[in-house]
Amino acid sequence: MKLLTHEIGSLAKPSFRVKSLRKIKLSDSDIEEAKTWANFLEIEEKKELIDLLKKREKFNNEEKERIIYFSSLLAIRLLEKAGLDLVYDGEQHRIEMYEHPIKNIGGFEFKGHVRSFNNKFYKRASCIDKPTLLRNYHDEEFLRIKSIAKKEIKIPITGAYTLVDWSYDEYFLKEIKPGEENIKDKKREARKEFLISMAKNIIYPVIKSLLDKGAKYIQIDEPAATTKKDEIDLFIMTMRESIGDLKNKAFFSTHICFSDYSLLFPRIKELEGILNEIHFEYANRDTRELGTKGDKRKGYEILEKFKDTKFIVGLGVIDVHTDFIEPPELVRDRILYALDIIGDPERIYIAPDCGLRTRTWKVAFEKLKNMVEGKTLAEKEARI
Amino acid sequence: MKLILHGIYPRSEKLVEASRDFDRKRIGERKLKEIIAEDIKELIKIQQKWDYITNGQFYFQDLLRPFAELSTSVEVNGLKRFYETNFFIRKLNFKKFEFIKNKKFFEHYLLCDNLFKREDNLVFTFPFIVFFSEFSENISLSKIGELLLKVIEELNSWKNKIIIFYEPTIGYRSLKEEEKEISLWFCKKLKEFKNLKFFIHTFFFDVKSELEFLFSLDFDGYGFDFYSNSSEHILKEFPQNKTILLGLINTDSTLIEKREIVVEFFEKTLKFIKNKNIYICPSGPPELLPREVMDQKIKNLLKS
Repeated sequence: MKLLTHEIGSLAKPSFRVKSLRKIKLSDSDIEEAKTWANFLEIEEKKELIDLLKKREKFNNEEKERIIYFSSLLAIRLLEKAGLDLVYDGEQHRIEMYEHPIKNIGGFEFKGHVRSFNNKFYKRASCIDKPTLLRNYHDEEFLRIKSIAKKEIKIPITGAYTLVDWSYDEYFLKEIKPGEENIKDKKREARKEFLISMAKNIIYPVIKSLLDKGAKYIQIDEPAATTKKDEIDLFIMTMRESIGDLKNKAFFSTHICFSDYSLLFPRIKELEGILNEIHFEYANRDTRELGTKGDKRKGYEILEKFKDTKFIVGLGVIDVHTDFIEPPELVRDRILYALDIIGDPERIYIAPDCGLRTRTWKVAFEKLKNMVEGKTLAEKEARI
Repeated sequence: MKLILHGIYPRSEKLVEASRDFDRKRIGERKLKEIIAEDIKELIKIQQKWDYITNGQFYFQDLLRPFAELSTSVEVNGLKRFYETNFFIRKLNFKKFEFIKNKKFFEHYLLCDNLFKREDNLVFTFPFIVFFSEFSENISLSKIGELLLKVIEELNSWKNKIIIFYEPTIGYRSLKEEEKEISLWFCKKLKEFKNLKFFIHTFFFDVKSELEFLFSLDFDGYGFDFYSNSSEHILKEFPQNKTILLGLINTDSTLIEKREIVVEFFEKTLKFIKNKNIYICPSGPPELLPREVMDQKIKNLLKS
């Protein structure tokens, strides 16, 4: 038995992919970067990739498709080379986790960019009509990745709660008058309606279709789950509606990050038997000092709350918001601390805190490689 | 009807793109500054003939970050969710607190590198002490108060400023006794600065149960998000001769406010508060909306 490792969705997109799709002329360094990674990752079609990129600009649709294929191939091989057990392609087929699904759902209209943090912005949409699924927007991507990957795939999908929370509601809420009585109740009722509509009519069919295509691991990303402390019941209701009768037909995990996790307990237990794994971000809250005692592992306090649950703990051991490369020993200590609390090694999966989209591939690879090394050290130490 | 803007104003699509390009080293600082200046100019145009204007605080990556420049040994740490939004603030870790009167804070962040003069009628938005403490480490509430007072002291010598303090913690959770006490102490200290006006703006949450405490803080004005609060109680309880900031520009919706509804609300307010003491403003941080939408909302109200 060994501790299983996986990633959490996104990776940066290589410059050759970004520029060619944005109609920006490729530079020598873009081609050089592609060459370097193709060599390092031992890509068989390396020559085809470089010949294609040498065109530098004015790529036709077919060529753009090949460029996406190559960025997907490189990303998958990067994760495989880092030694992960479950892989994905870091969203190379997607714009990002919000915009991609919303573009494939009727009833939404993009309104412009809003800040997420620092100079990171996302394009926010309004729900202006009843949400309808235009197409099963992850099928093609999954089948492509399946044809490339040498390891098991985990496909991340953005959950209904997050899609709702990150959108403006101008359909279910209709019109509220400022200062009116019962404004809170009115907003909550509309919110509930919006969530149920997205779970039943969008997320459930998307998951079902992926399962029909052979997906075994589904990660439902819900970074917004604990955003509103009075809505934990709504989040749980939304997750139930999203998975419905598909529970036990695949491995379901949820990824939640950068919020107050304590809000989820004890109600999250209502999702036992529906969700297999719950993954949080921990490293971002932790110290960088070695040690397996609580004073050094401050970021992992919430693990205590998992003790009397049946969930597998998705353990974030890599901070995705810094270029600091966690030494394997630090990863080891974070895992040992978690093992000490949870006990059963089968209930711990190792991963970064979140997607590595904001790091360069070089940094992401180094971090992941050390994560796998750290996991091996922990296995040795704990004699797993 | 008078309008006032607070907080960090949303960036135009052009500036969003430029900010990204700057981060990825596709453009230099000079180019970025040019585009920021364009954004500021556009924002000034919207605020023509207003009592006080905002420069948009475009150099603020979040409301706390510039304060890292005002003390020795501040580490900018991990992300923390800004209350119940999808916006995150990096926590400030004050390894050691010692105030430095850093020119960069005042000249760059507040005056946008000579785009504004010290004597201009400007609105600045800062985090109130409890909000500040939610996003900082190793600094006590009273030290946060001291830090803010140092900034206020400097601004008092500039004159003609409105300082709006954001405090979403009121309504989000019950404040501890210590937080209440230090808030009261801080507000008393603010009274020493005669050349400035001080407002506090609450948003996102229902503050009905906190009104008594809120009004015990001796501010010149109080702001409310009327998309999270019923108006009845607030208007009845509102203290005489104070200014009210009516958060009627909904920052949680891109729908343009119906002018007749805003006018109706304004007229209702007039029954309780004098016209000269009423400002209409965004319900929450303007940055929660895209620039174009925010601009449209303001222009729409200007026609009223």
